[in-house]
Amino acid sequence: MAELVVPPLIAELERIVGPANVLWRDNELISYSYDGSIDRGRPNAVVLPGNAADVVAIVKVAQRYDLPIVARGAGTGLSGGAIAHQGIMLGFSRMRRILEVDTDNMRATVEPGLVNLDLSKAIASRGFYYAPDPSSQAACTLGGNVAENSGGPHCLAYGVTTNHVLGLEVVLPNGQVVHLGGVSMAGENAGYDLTGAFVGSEGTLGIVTKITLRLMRLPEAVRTLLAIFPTVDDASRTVSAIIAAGIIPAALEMMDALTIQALQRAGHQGLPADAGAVLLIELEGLDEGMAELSTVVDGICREHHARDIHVATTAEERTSLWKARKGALGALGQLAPNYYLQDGVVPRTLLPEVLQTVQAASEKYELPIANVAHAGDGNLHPCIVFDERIPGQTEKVIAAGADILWKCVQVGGTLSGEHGVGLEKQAYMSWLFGPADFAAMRRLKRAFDPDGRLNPGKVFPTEEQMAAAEAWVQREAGATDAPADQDDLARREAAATAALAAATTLTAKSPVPVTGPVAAPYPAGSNGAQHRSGQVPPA
Amino acid sequence: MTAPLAAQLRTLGHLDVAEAQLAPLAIDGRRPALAFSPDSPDAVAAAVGMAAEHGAAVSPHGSGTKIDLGNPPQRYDVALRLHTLDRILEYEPADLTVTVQAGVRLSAVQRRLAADGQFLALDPPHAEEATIGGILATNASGPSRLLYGSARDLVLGMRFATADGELAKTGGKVVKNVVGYDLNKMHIGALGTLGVLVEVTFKVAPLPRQERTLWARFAGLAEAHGFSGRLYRSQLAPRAVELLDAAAARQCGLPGDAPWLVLFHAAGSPATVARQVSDAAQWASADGATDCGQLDGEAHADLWTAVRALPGTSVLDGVRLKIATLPTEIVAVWEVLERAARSVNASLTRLAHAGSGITYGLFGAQNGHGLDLAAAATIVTAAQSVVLPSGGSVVVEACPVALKRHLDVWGPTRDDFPIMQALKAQFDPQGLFNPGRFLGRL
Repeated sequence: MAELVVPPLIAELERIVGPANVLWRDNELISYSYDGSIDRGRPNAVVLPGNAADVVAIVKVAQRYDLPIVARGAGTGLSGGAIAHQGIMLGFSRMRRILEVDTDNMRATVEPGLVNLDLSKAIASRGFYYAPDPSSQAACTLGGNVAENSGGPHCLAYGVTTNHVLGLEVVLPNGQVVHLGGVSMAGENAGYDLTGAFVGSEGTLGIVTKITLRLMRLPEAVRTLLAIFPTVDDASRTVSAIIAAGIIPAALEMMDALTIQALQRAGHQGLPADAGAVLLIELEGLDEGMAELSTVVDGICREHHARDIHVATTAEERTSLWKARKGALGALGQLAPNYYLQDGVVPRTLLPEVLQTVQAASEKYELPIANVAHAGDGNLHPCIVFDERIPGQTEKVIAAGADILWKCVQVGGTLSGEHGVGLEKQAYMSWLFGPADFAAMRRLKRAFDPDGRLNPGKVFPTEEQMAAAEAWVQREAGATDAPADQDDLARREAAATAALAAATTLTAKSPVPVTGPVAAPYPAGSNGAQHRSGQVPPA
Repeated sequence: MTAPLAAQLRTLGHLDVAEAQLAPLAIDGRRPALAFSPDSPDAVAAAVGMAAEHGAAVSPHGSGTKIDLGNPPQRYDVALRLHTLDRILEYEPADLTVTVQAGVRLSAVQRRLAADGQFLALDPPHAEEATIGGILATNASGPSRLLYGSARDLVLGMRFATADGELAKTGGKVVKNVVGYDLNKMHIGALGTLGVLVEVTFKVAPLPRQERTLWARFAGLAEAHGFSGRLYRSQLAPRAVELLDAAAARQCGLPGDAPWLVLFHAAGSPATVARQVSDAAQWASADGATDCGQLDGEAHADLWTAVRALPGTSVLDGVRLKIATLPTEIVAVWEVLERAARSVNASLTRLAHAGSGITYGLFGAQNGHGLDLAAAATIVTAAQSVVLPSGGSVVVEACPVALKRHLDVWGPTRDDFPIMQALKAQFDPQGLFNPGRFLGRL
């Protein structure tokens, strides 16, 4: 078979980084066609730069061909941020060096392709670590973390990515290399805090080629508690009570019964099968404070009906508990072919109320919803488990998701605490922001990327998406105003749901495509906020 | 321009045009033509819109404690006085969040939060008068930024008036949020050059149950600095680690024989505070401290009030520098500052938030008549020569107005300046917000 003719674009890119680092044939593009999302897309080419100069040269080629550019880390993102439907994708697997570790000044400079956990591992022997710890930290890259402003369980006490980024080297879409931030504390460079504006911009403002991060000292003492509750409601009230008592643990995580059952099926032991919910509470600090602190936390848990409280006594036990928590998503993926993982945030005091809404959505749409939460931050991760091959399921999932997100917005919360907007939550942006707010965001975008070359089609909603989200809200209004005509209501509901489904990209599902027979859906109410112990969904 | 604008503004709220009211609002000797006091965020936005219609330059004004900061205004037509927007809008202690209007004083917020055992972890100079809007616009901070971060780490959301007379918001009211761009960071430290802040949501913290100071004096700067480094890099999680020279120590009420003073602010439960202070005391003697002691209760509180206030001390016609470097470079910077002071016969007071790498250098004339232009310029040039090459920054926070005509008080621009220009052009296309006062005369 004759070799394919190398197109001129590819030839130019190959001249920059060598043929081995330009992927463009169909079979080469497959593994770059997705992230943690349902949507798929293929760029014209994936290029693996080796340094900032390569990135500059690639950006100039993109400019000449008028192609969009999408940067991709490890593809663990959950909102479709690294999906490219055309143009040039930059992969950072070759740029993963630690350039400098300066423990005297508690900072490190790294390349964007470095895996999050690899930084902490590299400096642990010196007594330091990098605090933000997304559940995907063994795979996700620091460049991706910067783009998404990633969080993680320990962000409750130590803040998210933006609180740990001191400076950035960035290639702009015009090919200029700029240095944001400075050598000292974040926000202390002369002029505007562009570092702060950049972190969390989801790849739409520039391409990061170097990151300076703040390091932290490993704590002297760590105590990890597993508190077991009969109901999610008890567990979530405990969370509010701990925070209200002026205690901010290093981490305060919740998992419900469905999650625990999924974990057990995936081989994680050590969590009680009959619990309604568990809280994973981590306390850190000096040895001297631990006993008192854990006694107080223990007391608050028991006041709120904790049935049992285990304290991890060995490092292995602690690791096993965290393995379960960070493996929760993967385990949930085994319950059904698909899942839709949400990321809403609410004021912490309203956690119990919002989790009741999650349960109501589960019952209304007859969909199991597992709950994992960075509960201390009020950051919920309801996970709607479904099978997209069952006709109508996807629409129901989107409707259930919209019910939950609308509740989050209504109580003064937000759509995403750490996953980003990407392709997934664009439609719902207009629930939070009005024309003047979007105008301000567009101004920032134009200052960095006037031609809209970087990661186009992400974050900002289209007119159609905003209209669909608005119609969804109107449907809600209609339901309360005129409850008389049930048929009319049902029609409105169906129309609004269809429009919303068309405007929404579902983005989180189990990573392995399922080809087996269609599974029977779980019975409603076998999960979610109020479920009692002992209800195991059918296998 | 002024008369028709004044007529329009009067329909919105209170307007001052009399000399007596305008004189205290002067910036670097330039008075505004009008001073408008809006009584609502909507009135702020409307006033900005009216000013834009007339091409009038606007400077937001809080308590005026940082009015010396920045280059001289190129134009200054309207002082937008925000002191009447002083409400605490929402406070739910159990959520650890508070939403306030930009004109409220930090001290008023602290008093309200303290009633519920909480506080906003910002401790800038001018603690009593400074307003939230002013603190954010100038990115003012204090010793506790070591543990709690600065304004950028505490702000969850804000509302601001845009150049086209609208109110926009960014962020939200919950502690984690990645929806939309984070324009909070852009406004913090922007000196009101991109919009006018009207409302801010913060995360707040529980007040520590106990606080104590450990102080240690050293004969050598290197030893003192080494001790400070041992503290901020330790697992003790200090709330603050400060380095003071003899003049600063005197001003803070802790004079002594040895010239260098390190302050360690311990906070937490009684058991952890005892441990923190005991470790620190041991390390101090191992590191060669000549003298060491502890303060608690009122003496502790008074000391930190003085330490926080010191960087805001008026230098009359002297020079006050805020220098940001790597923490390890503090000694080199301090030595250069001392040589510069000596060469122009200026008095010098130095204080560093040692773990954060922030140095304040205050230079005054020995004769009490202020520094002459050449002396002031020598000091700034010397500081820049040691700080800029390694990537740090020097901000001339206060100096004789005459000197401001010769230098950019923010220092030189860097390779990120074209984006800053683009940002300014996007958010303030007519150049009406504090024109000329920011970096690069933006």
